[in-house]
Amino acid sequence: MRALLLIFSLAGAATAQKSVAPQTQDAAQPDLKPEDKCVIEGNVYNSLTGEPLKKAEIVLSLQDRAMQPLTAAITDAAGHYSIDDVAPGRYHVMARRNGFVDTRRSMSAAAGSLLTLGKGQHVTDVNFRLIPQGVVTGRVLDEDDEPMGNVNVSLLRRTYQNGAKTLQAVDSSASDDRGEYRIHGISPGRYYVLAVYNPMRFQQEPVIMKEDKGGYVPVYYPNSPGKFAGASEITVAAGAETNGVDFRLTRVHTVRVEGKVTNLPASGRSVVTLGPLDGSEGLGWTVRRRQFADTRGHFAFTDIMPGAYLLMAQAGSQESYLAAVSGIDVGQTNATGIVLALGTLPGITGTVSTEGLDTSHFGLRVALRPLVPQPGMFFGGPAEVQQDGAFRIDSVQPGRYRLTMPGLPADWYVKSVRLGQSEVADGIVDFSRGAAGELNIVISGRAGEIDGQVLKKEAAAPGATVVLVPDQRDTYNLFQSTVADMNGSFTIKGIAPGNYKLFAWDQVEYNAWTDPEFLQPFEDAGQAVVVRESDKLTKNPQLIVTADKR
Amino acid sequence: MPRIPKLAFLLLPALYAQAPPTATIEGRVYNAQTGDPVRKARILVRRWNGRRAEGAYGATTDAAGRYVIDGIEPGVYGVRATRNGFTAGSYGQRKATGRGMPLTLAKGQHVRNIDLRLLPQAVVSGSVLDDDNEGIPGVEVVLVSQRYDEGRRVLSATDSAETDDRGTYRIFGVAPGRYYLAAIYHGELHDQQAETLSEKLGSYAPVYYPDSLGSPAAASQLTATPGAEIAGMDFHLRRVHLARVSGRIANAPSAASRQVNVMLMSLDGAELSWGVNKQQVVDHTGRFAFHDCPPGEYTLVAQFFAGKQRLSAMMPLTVSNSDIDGLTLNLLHYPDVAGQVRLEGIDAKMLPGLGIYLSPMIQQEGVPGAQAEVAADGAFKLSAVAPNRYRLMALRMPDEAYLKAVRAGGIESPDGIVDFRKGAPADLTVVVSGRGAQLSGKVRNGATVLLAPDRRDRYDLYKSDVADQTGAFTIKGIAPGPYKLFAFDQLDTGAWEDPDFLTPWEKYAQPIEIHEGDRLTKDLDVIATPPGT
Repeated sequence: MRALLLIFSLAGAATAQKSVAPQTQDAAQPDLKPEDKCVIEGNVYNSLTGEPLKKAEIVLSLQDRAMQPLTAAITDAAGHYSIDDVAPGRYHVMARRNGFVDTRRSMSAAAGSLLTLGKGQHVTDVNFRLIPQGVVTGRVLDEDDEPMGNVNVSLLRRTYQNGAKTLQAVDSSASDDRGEYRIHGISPGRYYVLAVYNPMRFQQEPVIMKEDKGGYVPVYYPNSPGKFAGASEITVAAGAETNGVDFRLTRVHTVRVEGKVTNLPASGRSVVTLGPLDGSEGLGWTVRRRQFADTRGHFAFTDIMPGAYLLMAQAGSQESYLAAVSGIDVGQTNATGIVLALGTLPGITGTVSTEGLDTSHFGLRVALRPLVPQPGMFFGGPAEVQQDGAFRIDSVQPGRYRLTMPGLPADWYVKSVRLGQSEVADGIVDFSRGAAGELNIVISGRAGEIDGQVLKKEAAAPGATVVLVPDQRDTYNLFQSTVADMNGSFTIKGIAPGNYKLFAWDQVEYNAWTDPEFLQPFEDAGQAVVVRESDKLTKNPQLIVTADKR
Repeated sequence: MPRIPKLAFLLLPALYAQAPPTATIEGRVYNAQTGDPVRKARILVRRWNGRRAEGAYGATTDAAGRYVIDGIEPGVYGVRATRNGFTAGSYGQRKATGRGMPLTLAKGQHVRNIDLRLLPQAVVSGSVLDDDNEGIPGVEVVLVSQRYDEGRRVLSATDSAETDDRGTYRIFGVAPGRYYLAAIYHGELHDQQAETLSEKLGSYAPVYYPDSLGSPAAASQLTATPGAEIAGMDFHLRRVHLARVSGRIANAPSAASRQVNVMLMSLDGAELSWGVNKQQVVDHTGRFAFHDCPPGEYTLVAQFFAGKQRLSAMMPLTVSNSDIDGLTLNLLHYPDVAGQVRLEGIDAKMLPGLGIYLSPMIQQEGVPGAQAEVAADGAFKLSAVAPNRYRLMALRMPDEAYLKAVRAGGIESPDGIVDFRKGAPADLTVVVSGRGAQLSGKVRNGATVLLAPDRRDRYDLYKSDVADQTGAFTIKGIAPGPYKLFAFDQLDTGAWEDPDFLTPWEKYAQPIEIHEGDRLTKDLDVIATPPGT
């Protein structure tokens, strides 16, 4: 029923941050002279055996636009490919093939390689060595050793977010009627494994369960129901299947979370969402529960394990949107009598002022991104900035957000953000007690820029991850990273004036540099840089070698 | 919205304590083939009329397949059971896809032997392979069944599974029946990447088993029987080059951040609409290009959102084997449509609960409908209505009410269909009457009573009810006019939307003339069991 889906599409639209994606262009460079056209060719190999790989797909896109490729090719029986008619420019080239690690899923920024092409250049040996995939398989059984179907099994990997270690699901698969699951395309490494049985993911109405036999809760491999503390990692090797990663799910003590949504609009029913407050242990969307409250506003979630949750009720349409949000701590006993009083969520207004050029020639937007990933919380905005610099973000949920500005040109930076009279540090706005106040954002076209070449001793080092780390380490907005091209060349734009250190790693996990613990042993290898307004600096950092020398 | 004093919440527990006496049901779940009890089946007891869900009850069967649920509020319910390895089943269900039978529960009633018989699942499995007999991952293999929608035969997806890195798939929990099987390659790439790849390398066009390209015309059906595994249903896909559809948006917005969504949507293949719906985001140059479009009827839609403003363009398109280039689309404003609801025989305080919905006659994802809430004075405003034909529907009408009249721009629309393709009307009046007729009576328990209008293409007027465990049925909110009354042993919802379905049974049906506000009682005999049961 379409009418009832309105609410979901609203929430969906708010969370899905669709990338800005100009279309595929046949005639990307219509005025290209024949003598200026470039050619790229190379080979694709199996990194373990060295054998050439046929049917590998090669995708060429403009740098920083990997999701909007310009052209593609496929390798022949000898593992060779060739792409003609490429205009001069900076490109990202990626290779992929079934049975090999999917580079899009690897956390390294160096997925694929960067190419700088001059007029009429013919580059050979743009070669790829693809890592044979790892595969994880297993079975999910219940307390009677009978197979359980539709259990979501996900692989979790440690990653960094705002300087904190967190677990992120890199891939998942659902068990079939035999309880069997198979996750493929995995890069070698160490992973935690999480099994979630959530048949009540979405309910048309609250359901009262009659017997209290307990419920199935998320289980970390090997056998830790609901608690990350007992989890242990599995090792996935290149080209190998890790079999027998089996789960046995048993019912444990769970409770009911029950209450009432009040202030219901005349026409409407309310959708209630219950999600874990903290997604850092891999408990994300898969464990979220959602249901329609009944016509009297009553809701009831059964089989809930103790913990901290975010409870949210929504009703109405896009025109008259009502919501209520509440954080709750669920203990060992049923949480009943919860009241969620619907109301309009406050919006936030503000202005953007500029130093430098006027803004009318580009479409600026302002968005609020939830600081901690919480299933159920959605983005504020993005709101369009009007010609006079004013913007308005409707319906902001209580919570902490990072302010972002999609559409800000690469060579601009956010100079300051004020909420009312007080300065907002690091772009983090705290609306825990509800959104209020006026946001004043100053952007500047006088950002600094650093370019240069990564060197290994005297020679150019291609493909390094170049990272600019601010001396104010807790200001995550100021961190910047890029990947050097095949000549070791790189450019970082949009740098806010200040003191930094510049690092270049051969291999580094994305965002690991925001973890002070990770950074500590490399401090001496960083090059101090002072950036002033409109500076154009050239720096040639020395490569830091971290890759294991297998 | 009036503020509700805090005190009201404190009183809530007291209100719950005064809840009316409740009913209890109990029963067992059996394996329909072996007769063995089925343990750990999940039971869900929901209101029969799911339109206004008012809370449901759940339980799990014990080792003897038994369940008991007490504390049920009086009302009419359906009972359903699910279990891994079985097809979901309903109480009173007589065929694999039937609805089951409603259960009417009175205060203090204790109903026993509410037993369910579950059919063991069928499984369909196989591989999807390329020219070198290597597995292709990321192919969605879909079981497709046939049904009728407003007199038209359509295919709809019932179950699906995706191939893994070995190219293997396994569709489980399949209900017995006849199906087509289709393999649809989505790839594991972002849309835009997939478009580039298919432009350069060709794409895997959708295939119906065993090798019918793009449509089921030359496909064969499979028959799934309870407990059977139909293995080895293998597909061989080849990359092919199909037609390109390209053009530009003439008035694309100039700001680089403003994006226009362009969608190419399959029309005639409701059949494969999930397979050949393509979407692109277009920048300020306005150019779009869709590669490898299988032959068929499409609608090309462009949409642009700026705050609450919506601009759009729509174009029907027939794709054959040759490229279609140089299309031009002009974005237009969608107008708002204001209207008024008039009530007859219903208290005006019902007005704010009503909604008005325009359902597009071309039921395609992306071709938007429009919905509005009705204000206390009966006014409503549908915002940004696309030029299209719609069926106007009144939402959340009281059970005894019917949609009596729709007038658009002063013209009566007898069948509730409004045509906004040449612009929005100056006024839109909707009359809802509370004097719908009511028909009730007795028939064999679990039988389906169908009231079919003499104008058989008025799919909005068909009414049906399933008799409960005592054989009682009630149909409310009937619009006046000539009808025929049928009673079937068991009938799939919507089976009557097949124009040929009723023909063999016409001679057994009772003609009946219904007037506004009638209260009729009729006891019926089941006329026959339709074929295929």
